[in-house]
Amino acid sequence: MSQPVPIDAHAGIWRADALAWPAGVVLATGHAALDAQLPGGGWPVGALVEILQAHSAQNEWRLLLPALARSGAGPVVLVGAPHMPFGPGLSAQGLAPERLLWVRATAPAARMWACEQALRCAQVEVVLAWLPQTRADQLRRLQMAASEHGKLLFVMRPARAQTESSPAVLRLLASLQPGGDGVQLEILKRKGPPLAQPLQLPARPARLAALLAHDGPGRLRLPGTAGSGLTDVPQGATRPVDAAPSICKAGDALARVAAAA
Amino acid sequence: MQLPPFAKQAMHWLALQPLHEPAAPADGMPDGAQPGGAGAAGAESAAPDMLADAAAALGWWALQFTPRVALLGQVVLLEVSASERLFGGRRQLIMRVRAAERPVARLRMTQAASALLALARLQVAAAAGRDPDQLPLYALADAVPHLATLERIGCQTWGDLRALPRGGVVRRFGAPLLEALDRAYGQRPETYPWLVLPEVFEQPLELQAQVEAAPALLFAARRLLAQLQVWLQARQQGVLALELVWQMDARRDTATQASVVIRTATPTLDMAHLQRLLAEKLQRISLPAPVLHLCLRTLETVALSGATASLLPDAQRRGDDWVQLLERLAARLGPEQVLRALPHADHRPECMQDWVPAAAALPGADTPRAVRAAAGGAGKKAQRLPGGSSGKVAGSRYDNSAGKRATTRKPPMLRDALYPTWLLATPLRLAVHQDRPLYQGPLTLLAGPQRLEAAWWDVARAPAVVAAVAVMAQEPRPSSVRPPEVSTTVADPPLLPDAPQISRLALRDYFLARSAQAGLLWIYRERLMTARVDGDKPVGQWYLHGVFG
Repeated sequence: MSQPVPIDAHAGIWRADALAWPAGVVLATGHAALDAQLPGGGWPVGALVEILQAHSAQNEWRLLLPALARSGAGPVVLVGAPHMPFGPGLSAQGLAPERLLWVRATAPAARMWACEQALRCAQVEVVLAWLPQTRADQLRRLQMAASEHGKLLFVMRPARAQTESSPAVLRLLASLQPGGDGVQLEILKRKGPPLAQPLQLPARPARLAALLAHDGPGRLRLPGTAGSGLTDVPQGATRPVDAAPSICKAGDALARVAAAA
Repeated sequence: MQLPPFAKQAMHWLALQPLHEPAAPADGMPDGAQPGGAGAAGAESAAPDMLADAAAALGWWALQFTPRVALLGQVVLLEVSASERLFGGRRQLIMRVRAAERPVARLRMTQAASALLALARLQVAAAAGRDPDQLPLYALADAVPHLATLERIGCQTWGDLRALPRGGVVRRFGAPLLEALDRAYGQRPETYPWLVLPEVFEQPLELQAQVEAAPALLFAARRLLAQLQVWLQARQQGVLALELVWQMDARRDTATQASVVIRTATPTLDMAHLQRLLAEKLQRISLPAPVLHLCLRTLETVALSGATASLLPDAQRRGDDWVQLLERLAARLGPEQVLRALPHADHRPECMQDWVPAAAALPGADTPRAVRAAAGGAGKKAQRLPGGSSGKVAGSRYDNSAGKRATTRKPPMLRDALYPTWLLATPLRLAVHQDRPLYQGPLTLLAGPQRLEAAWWDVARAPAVVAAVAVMAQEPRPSSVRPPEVSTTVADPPLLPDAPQISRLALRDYFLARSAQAGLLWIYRERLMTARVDGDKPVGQWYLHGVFG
């Protein structure tokens, strides 16, 4: 006879100085520093995650792409994306563009509706929604749908929404590092103690970071000095290119790229 | 000479009648007692009011038991003697009809050796086991015109009428009455126009009241859809396209007929999904005149293969179907708002992907479907970037799309690392201050240039430009020299509005730039002949093309 599994009545309670545990199903974010600060060590699956950021800055892909790349093969639904998603750029960071579904809804009500429909779909893996104008009760609806169907749900909202209450399980405020290229991340809400220091994520893809570090402003080449024109196309295209970490002469690599183009 | 009644027990008839109200018996029934032959009414069974034509639907459903199904008014007659053996005997067959998992409607059923007897037993509720001679005469349709006369001569039952001399009866009431009596006793063969399942579903419906608003049509259309479902199940088909036609009041000086067509990507039996699609379509329609009649017809159906059930309980995931989601989103938001990416081998970033309506290019679609989607995208509804390429280029891309798709499966690794994650649909022209581009403050160029020269074939219609390109291709330092005649052909202000002509000749130098507010940006500067003339030297315009999000 199998013993009945005891229901932990205290699963929703955690000590104020520790992260909530157990935290349900999570998906590792791909950023070790962030994982260490999240309950369970990753994005919560089946819960609403809010990412607040300034209107001009778009840091969502940097935060989410490492996790999305490993989130299975199901569709990723983008509702109300601010720009056109660029498939080649996303596939370079591991997200196959075939998984994307881009829903271009402008009206807030239409975005909410599309989000909810996507969350109710069995095959959908992740829903990314840009909801600049939304109310807490609408977000609660999304949170319920996400938890009922076990989907990853990320909602991007403007930074001014940090003063509003939200049913999100996790709220992050992402901003650009002043003077740098990393992301500064404040955890506004989590199942755990408040975070004193903002997190610094050096969240460029490794190859791009290597290129940027090498090809700094001092190495900037003036326009018109690279590439040789149309006649070089086949040659440049077939030239083997080294793997990313071993870029030692990024400027030459760029020139080859330009020739291939 | 008379044959003994039911000499040959060859035929056996079932009479089915849809029950409109489970509480109140149908009209024509003197006593309200439920007969023993009342059929099973499962929880899923729809009320016949939910069907456009309940009797026909019941007939279509009954065709699974026997090919001999006849419709007599609101009653369905089944001749089951031929299929008894198939179902394991008469008792088994009747059990099956009664306990059908999903009967079309609540139904009452009686059985007898002749159709008219079964009908009479259906009409006279307490006559389930009664001898035919005891049946009242009003239960025989052919006797109804003569009921008053027959009553006055003391004829109340079938037995009374049979006892009268046949010659006199024929002379007084005509031959049809006696023939009907003979058929009811099984002494004459009975033939009816057998029900045939129509090849194409087309069901009219007269509305009970004039409908002024299009969304209100949905209530009536629901009955038609329920009818359609019965038809589809009987034919074991799924619907791909159907059309709802409505006829409007002809007294208004408007069109008298309009329709809406619904298409689904996969053949479906799911009426809830079709109903949602229909609702989305009807939401957008305004009726110029009140609607009186509806008609639903199928445009395209295909045979439905059965679904494989899973052995594992957890294999089925909860939630809606992906295809249905796409169709629902497209129905409400418009197909051009729900997009999927199709990669293309092209050096111009704006041509590397086509965003096509997702309902046309379904995931997991095999190559023909994908190619068809690409053709559709290139031909009519392509969600190309603004200022998309000419039809000529689109056609050429389609012609060898298979090969290009193969090449785009493995893109070169290094170039991808430099691509942004967001692309601006229309490159944003940047202001320039002291030779430095501005976007929310001055930009710092981090890396570049990455040179792009492509799409010379796109300007093949302008010979002067091609010649200019040819000249420049031989120049060692083309950026410093610009043939003067080119500016008149390409850099003509009317031809080049603020947004650059994207899929024209692309001569650009891409840079990675950092903005204090917006982070890392992907900008380019136009070169050469596409540049504007500022004073005596050409100045390349700066454009913002991508954002590293």
